Amino acid sequence: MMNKTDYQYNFAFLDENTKREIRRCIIKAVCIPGFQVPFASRELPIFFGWGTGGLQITLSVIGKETVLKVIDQGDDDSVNAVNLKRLIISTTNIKTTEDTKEADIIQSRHRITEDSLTEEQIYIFQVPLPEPLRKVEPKEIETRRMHGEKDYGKMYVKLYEDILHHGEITIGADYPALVNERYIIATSPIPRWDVPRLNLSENLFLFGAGRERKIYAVPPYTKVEPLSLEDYPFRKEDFSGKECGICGSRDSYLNELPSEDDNGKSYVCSDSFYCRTNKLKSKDGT
Amino acid sequence: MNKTDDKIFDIVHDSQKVFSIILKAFSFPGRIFKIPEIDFLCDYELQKYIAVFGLTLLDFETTFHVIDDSTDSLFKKYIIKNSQAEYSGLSDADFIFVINTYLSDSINNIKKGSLIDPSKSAVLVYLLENIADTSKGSEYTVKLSGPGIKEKKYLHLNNFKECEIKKWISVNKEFPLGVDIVLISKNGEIAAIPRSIKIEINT
Repeated sequence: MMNKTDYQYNFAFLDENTKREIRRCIIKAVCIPGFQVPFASRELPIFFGWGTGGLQITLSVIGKETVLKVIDQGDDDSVNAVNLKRLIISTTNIKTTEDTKEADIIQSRHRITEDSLTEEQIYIFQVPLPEPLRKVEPKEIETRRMHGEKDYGKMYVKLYEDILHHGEITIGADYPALVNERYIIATSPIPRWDVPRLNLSENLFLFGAGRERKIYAVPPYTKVEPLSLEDYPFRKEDFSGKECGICGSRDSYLNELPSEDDNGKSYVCSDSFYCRTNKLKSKDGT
Repeated sequence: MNKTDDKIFDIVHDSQKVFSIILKAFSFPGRIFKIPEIDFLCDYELQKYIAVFGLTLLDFETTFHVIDDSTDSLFKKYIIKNSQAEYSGLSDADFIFVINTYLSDSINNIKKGSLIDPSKSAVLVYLLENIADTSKGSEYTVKLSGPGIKEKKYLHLNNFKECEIKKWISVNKEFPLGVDIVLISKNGEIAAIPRSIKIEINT
């Protein structure tokens, strides 16, 4: 039987030239917060669109001593997270964890963990559509020009039209945000709940879009402002009066589930590790 | 003894360790980090730490230029031999290594990127005597603010010409166009100043 360490691939699957290219792009992305740096995006044993951007960043950054956490919509045990983790472990043999505080690198699909992050941690997002201007401009060459010239008028017109038709800004997840007063970014798509967490955070956020071949970053202590209009300020999802059916949390992002009682709806924390630890805490009375 | 029997720079694990420090330096501008001690035989023993930086980020897809105080640059030969990076003129180089000297007015000729793609710009890597975050022995202070810095950060560069820092300010005045700066000391300390950072000189 093959020993776990006798893997037949290079450490972290990618060849070293690929890692170096991605590392150079990561550095440029950190130096120009919010700017989408083009990169080659290699073929991987998973399809584009299944987290290859985030995965390539993770594989380029991790070392033998790294402790990794992978989540999908806040859940450590969902199919996407488990499969990505399995690929990473089989080519690195590194330690993984579900404990947010213990992780050096957290790779995530569409959520930021509820627990606070530190300067020592790197948070990596899997991004399906990195171009926030795509909804208002289909041509790539034109969106690049718009970013270059900070020509974001059309985005604000879209917000205004939303208010005109629906009485409020209707963008849910992937709410656009202005980074360092310069570039508009697509926020992963994380829910609105998580967007303020990007602002002046202690840790580095890296965003990887494998299919669209872009890497961008929000460095620590960087201003990130969700787009809004003066009289229609940004607001998060409202969970007032609701609580998690498992741990009783009233201050976490909740998923709505169908239920036989309580008007056919029940709620559970989206962050599975937070929910588990919160339940244990309330059991212990701490 | 044959050189291949000696310890070599492990491009898989050593470069990952060095990269993680480089990334930290760029993420927290002005903060001083220590490049890990790597036990390997380096032909360019003069300055092992700047060699390690080159081996970590350069390969055949990159171009570089060296501004050295010597006519026969050992560093240039070392990088060509060990990274396969292409040596180019100053205006085309992705990485510019400034060893024991200054760029001065040449800084105006280096790649600053374009508004469409500001990432197509150069990284300036300086080799210095030392970098410090205390004011001991320095004539002036470099005050930094911007992304990656909680409030303000101060750097002290002993025996480093103030006019070179004024050139940095000038070349990075039109963000997002500009260059990213890395400072490496002979003791293996590293600090970075991305173009997004506002630099002020306090005398």
